Amino acid sequence: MRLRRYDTETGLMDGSIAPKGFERSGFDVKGKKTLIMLGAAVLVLAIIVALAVSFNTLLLIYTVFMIFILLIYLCIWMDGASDTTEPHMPMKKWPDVTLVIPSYNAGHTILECIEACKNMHYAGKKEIIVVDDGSTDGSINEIRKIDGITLMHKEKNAGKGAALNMAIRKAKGELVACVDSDTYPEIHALERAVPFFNDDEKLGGLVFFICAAKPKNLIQRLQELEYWVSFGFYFKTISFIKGLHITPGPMAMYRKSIFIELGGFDEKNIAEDMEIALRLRRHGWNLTTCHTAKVYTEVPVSIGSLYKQRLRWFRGGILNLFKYTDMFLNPRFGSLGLFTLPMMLSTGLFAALFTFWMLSDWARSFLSAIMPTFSNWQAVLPGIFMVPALDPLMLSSTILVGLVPAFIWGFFLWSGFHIAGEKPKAAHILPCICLMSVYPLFLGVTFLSAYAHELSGRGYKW
Amino acid sequence: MNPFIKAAILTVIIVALALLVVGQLDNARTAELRKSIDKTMSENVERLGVQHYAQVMASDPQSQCLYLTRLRQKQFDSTYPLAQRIQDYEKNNLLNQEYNNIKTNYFLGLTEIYLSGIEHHKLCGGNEIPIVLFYSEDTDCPDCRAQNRLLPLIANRCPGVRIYAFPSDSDLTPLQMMTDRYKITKTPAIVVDDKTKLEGLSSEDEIIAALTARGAACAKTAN
Repeated sequence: MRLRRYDTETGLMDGSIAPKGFERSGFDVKGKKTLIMLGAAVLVLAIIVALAVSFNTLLLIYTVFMIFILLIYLCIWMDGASDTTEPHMPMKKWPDVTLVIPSYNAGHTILECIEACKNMHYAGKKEIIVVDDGSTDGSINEIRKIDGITLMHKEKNAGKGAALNMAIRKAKGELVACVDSDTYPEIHALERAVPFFNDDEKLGGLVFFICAAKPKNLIQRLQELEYWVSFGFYFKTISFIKGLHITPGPMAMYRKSIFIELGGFDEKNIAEDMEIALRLRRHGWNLTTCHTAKVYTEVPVSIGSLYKQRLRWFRGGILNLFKYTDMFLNPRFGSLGLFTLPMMLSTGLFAALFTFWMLSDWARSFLSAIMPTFSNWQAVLPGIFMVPALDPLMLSSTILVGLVPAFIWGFFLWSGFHIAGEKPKAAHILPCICLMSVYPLFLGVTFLSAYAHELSGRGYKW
Repeated sequence: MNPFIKAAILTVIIVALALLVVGQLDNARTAELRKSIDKTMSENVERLGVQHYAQVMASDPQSQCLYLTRLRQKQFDSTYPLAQRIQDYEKNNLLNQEYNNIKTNYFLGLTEIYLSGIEHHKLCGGNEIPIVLFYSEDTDCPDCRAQNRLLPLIANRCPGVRIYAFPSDSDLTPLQMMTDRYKITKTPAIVVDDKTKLEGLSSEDEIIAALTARGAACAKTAN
């Protein structure tokens, strides 16, 4: 079977004509530069407004906005997203499934990943294709020793999208599950996920419940909680209103027919998982999540590697938002166009704006403190790191209003634990505090940096 | 009901409720503030009473020392907590009328402490040496902030030194009187023991030298 090529220049499948209104689906988005400049102008304007109003006013607007967004999630959750019933359709015939694992220099994780994929229970036929994407660490020799898998090899590293496309062309299964080489699915993940495709004919893609694998240090534990909330609570909620916008890279499953219909992964896109999801949604396919199909993925161990990962995610997010601007606020795409995409952009912008304000304030006090006298560091330092006082009588309206989102978010975290089937432990306290205090600032900085990268037109790195 | 409309209604209700609770907290805070202001005022009246007693009864000044020391301790107890409260307001960016009231009370209390310190020293002796830092509030003064952070280090090195800081551009009459008395034209400025004036950002060594000249026993290096 021949997979039609998705032309990243024109955004079209070869031989096809772009549907009306979808002309701007290529990687080189028409007017992308203008859109980015427009976005920058909005950001600058917002910064000027933020500087003109007091910090308290900005904080109040931000918290009210956050409360509104969080309450939307809460209302959706209460409206039925919390329902844990999953389709247990009597499967007359389990469809053939192909697991595709692209691997690039993944010697330290690939064997465990393949082992986990092989061990997954599945009543139907299961095929595993591993694509070595030009690895130089000799991992291919280890993979060759494993029985029961198909190994494909690319001489030169061409990226994840290209490796996936190569394997999907050869895949025999009706369903294709793309698995990252550092991801280990649980033993029942596949048999829990597949019935969803039987349940909904228009289901194009399914998201597994991504969890952090073996978290050891604080950074990883923090991500463990974040993943439970994001891939557990948030995904389950927006999936309920059919607002999913991404099929995360660690593991997602698709009907193979969609690749025939819509073309393969966008090989030049740094967030190909988001791009394919938006393309699916644009063409009327549904996405859903299966929270009982857990997969564990390796997460960054240091703040530096976490920053790089998030920078790529945010840049990919910005890029794909620009690529699919026609879906933005478009009622044709339901909750995705009217809620998920605008919410994604506005929370990013708000976080960036808030972070900019805080950082500029700190920078101002830092510079004014150190400029006059460099010789008295011991006298200068205490004044730099000012934190809000914790005197209960000092609770200002903004701080109090700020507590409300913290409580609602606390409920989300609790729900995340519940979805993951975990119980809160003492070891979760510190990561939880960091997640609610410092981490949003880190994300704000990363979002600002992502936008700056996009503005400067710097190249993409994996 | 549509979850988005439900969320909007809930947002309005929650924000309104939160603001209501804030109103109650504000009232509690105002009551607390009023209490501390009343306390400061009654202490000022008490102090006037002591002065009046000394004038009317013309008693031996030395015999007043005990009362003056006790009164001064009361002033410390009521004034210094206000400094912490001012910092809390500043850290929370609550620069409202309450903040201004507290600040006024703090500076008036501090002026009283400074003056009573001089009076106490004249009548009863002791080794306390006051340092007054004059700084600008209306204009940005990074040097003033740097100078302010240096003074606690000096107090550590020189036992008996008490630090005061007053805005030179305040519209409070007692502060204006002090600014005029010391002829402050530039900030930061430091006045050591009511006598020596240093204008501009002074180094640790310059201040130590001025203190030593006024009889302070300063350690050679920081503790």
